[in-house]
Amino acid sequence: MGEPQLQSETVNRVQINPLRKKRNKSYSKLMKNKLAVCGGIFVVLLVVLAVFAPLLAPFDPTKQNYGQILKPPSATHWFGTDTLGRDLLSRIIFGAQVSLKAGLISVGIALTIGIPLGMISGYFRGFWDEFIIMRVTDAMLAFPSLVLALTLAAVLGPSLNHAMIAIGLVFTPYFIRLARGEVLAQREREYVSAARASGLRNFSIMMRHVFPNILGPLIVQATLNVASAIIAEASLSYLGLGTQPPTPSWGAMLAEGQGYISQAPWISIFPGLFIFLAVISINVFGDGIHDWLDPKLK
Amino acid sequence: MNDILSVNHLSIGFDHSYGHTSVIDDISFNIEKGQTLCIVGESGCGKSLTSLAVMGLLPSGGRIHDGQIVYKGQDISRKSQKELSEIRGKEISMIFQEPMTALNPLHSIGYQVSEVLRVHQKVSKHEAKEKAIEMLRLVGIPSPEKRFAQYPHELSGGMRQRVMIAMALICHPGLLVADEPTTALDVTIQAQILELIQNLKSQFDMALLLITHDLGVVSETADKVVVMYAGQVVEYGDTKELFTEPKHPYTKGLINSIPKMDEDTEVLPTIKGSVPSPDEMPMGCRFVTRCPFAMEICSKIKPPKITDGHEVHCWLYSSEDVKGENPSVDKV
Amino acid sequence: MLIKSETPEPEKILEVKDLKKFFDIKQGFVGLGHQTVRAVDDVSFFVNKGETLGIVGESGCGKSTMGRSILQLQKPTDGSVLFEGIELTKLKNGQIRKLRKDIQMVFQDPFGSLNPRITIGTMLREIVNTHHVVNKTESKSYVEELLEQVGLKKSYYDRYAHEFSGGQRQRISIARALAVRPKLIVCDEAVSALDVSVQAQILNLLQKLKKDYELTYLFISHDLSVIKHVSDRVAVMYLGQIVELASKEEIFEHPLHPYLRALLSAIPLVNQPKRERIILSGEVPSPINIPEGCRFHTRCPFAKDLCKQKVPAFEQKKDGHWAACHFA
Repeated sequence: MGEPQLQSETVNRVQINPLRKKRNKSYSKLMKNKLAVCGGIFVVLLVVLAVFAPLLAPFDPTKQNYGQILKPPSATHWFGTDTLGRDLLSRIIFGAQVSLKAGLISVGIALTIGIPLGMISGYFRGFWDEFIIMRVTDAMLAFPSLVLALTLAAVLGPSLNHAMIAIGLVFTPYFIRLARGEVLAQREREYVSAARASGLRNFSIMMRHVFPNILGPLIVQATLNVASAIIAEASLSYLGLGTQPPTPSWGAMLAEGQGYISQAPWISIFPGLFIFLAVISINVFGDGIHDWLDPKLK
Repeated sequence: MNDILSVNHLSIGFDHSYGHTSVIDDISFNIEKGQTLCIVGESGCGKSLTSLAVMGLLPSGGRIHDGQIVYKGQDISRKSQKELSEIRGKEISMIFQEPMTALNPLHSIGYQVSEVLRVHQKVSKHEAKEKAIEMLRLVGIPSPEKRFAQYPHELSGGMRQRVMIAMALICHPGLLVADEPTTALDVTIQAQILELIQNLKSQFDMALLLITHDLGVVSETADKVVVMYAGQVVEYGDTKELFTEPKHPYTKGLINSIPKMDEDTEVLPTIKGSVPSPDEMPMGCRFVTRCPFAMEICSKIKPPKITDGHEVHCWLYSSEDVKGENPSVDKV
Repeated sequence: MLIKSETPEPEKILEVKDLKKFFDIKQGFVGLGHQTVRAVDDVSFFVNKGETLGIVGESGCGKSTMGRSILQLQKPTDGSVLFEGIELTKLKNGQIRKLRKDIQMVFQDPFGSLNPRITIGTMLREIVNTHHVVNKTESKSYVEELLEQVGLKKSYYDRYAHEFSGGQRQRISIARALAVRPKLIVCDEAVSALDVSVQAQILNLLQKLKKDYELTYLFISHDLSVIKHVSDRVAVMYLGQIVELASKEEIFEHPLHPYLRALLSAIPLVNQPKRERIILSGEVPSPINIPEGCRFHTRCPFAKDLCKQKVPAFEQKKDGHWAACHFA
């Protein structure tokens, strides 16, 4: 029965070969952590931009100035101006409000509906799982998502809030599927049987044992979907069903710039760049959270 | 020299971005023609890695740091993969623990057996098929003509292992490496497979390098045995002698801790603790953390090889006066 | 009045009667055709309080399914499981949960049976609190004590499963089973994944705990030497049925069923002269197509015509020695 006593008795006498000294973190791991931190910093920066937009923006984002139409980046207008002479930097700062909101809230809606349904479906299986949840999600997934979002947004009426609900609902089946699949896999693991054999309640097995183990892939999927949601909001805005002009959103700005891509590329480049950076950093940050939640990688 | 394989001072380690870990530390043994040598030890002792090194199939990052593997007089440890592929399957063959994963699920078993033959010998497709069927019959697969077209998933575990054996032996190799070939099988099937391997071994006059954790299997099949612990050889010699007179405290502990069929014991003798992890390896004897007879010197200097009847690597048997006292060994 | 009391009739803690567990496999496009896997096919036995009943058999013989059916982790298809006189198969989910306080299980896989995401302290404490084993305020010290009882350190409380070796994990699994102070523990291949030296440590621990806590074990294993070491009585399973059952001394000294005799002759032993080996031909038939007559006749070296036609009764051949064979 020696395992516990052993350390105290012998280990202090034993010399560990110094060559084999453990170096805990490999270089690549460290690099990954740095990336995640960078991503996190950028996400925080965007949030700060959005929250303090009125203080940070040099100009009024909706003020038109016909003397300054389609000006390239300069000392006064860092990112240039658009077709109505509005300052692009100010619009991007204010646009962060809309785009981040659209991205986070719609994914939030999808997560809150999708994860519980998916988990219940995967954990209990049976009639609900096979005939209702799976059929409904399959049917929803069979529609092209933009068409579905369009229909929903049109039914609800054009506004940013409605667009977010529509996008959230369209994303929900992906999370149901993912959560269900992950739960199905975890359910077969022996620790779930062991938890059942210990007499734990189904609810606490799901919450405390299964949920933490399926969180990783869900976080990765969620961060990817934040990106898609920002773009989806842009598409809906472009079609007049999302953000209403003159409120700036990155997606709408990107769409506006489309027609001027050769004369005034900055109109689309800067919003595009910010969408890209936001998406990448949220993604890297999500990945970092995933690793951070894994006790094995601590 | 009648040795078909001799492994001399072999050391294997893994390279990482931050340095390297030594896994196999200076092991030597040799197998004569037609002999069976077993490497026995618990998980993580490096027995499988040794067998893979003999095949030239070290996992990525693994590297032979020192020593030779001499097969029929030539050192194969420094050969290129291309040269090795000439030898593998033809001169040295291997069977694995898990026949389901070792067989390709997308090809029929007949194809897989005859493919080995076609790679190594210039034979026609028809001839290859005939030989494959004959081989399948030899390994005890009933109605091999029918089975030829079947796929691995249609066979039971025991049958799959027979197919593996057929694949391994179709070119009549001089050495068969078997890595835990019966661990995944039930005892009654294990008995069948071990008997089959023994029969084919004498029929083909080949040597067998058997890797196992089961001391019972060793005792019943091996001519010579290597006991490994944490990447080092602790004891090596003739099976009968080694089992009737084990010397190393680890070997003794291992034999004692198996529940016996012929006697009743209330409390099983155990070896305390568990194998240290690779980055906590002691400098001297690697067994020192678990050894009931550990002395001052054991944790500092690697034990010498002492040959008295058979080979044992332990300070207890050193004639040098280690500490001015020689602890009694009989108590183990 | 002065009559010396005979050894009291042992109290049955668990009684299994005609237990069956079948699985349906759907086939075809719409799942219309189906086949039935008869994993456990009419098994009856009992376990006395304080004893260890060993269940031995090869993979696929249904021994694990039987263990899970007894715990109601899988609902039995038919039959009854009486634990201290309570019929378990008829209990509702909530009642089964309460019952889990009395019957516990130790699983085979020391790697899969522990949740990788929570510390072992949290895991054990949750179980203790769910069953109100001790006061909530005392549960931490209770769990620490438990860790020491299974030979681990108190300080391991905050560690995750992956920080432990296989043997240590199995100690944690044992602590989990022990946490609720059960009366019966089902050990399903509890030492099979361990190296011999560690296996011996765990076997000794199980024996010690049995004494300390007056436990009863149902010990399922494929390893005859382990079964022989731990059991008081032994049942041998083949293809979903028990084919032989007797006290340990009796069954290993005088095995009756050809299957057990073959098993005994097939285990490789250290330092034993070569024995007469009964090599069984062929393989275990699929539990979907169970042979007519005696289930073992396809592999039995002594099979006669009778064996192919008539199912042998599982009957008492000697005092306390049961076997299902026409010629035993």
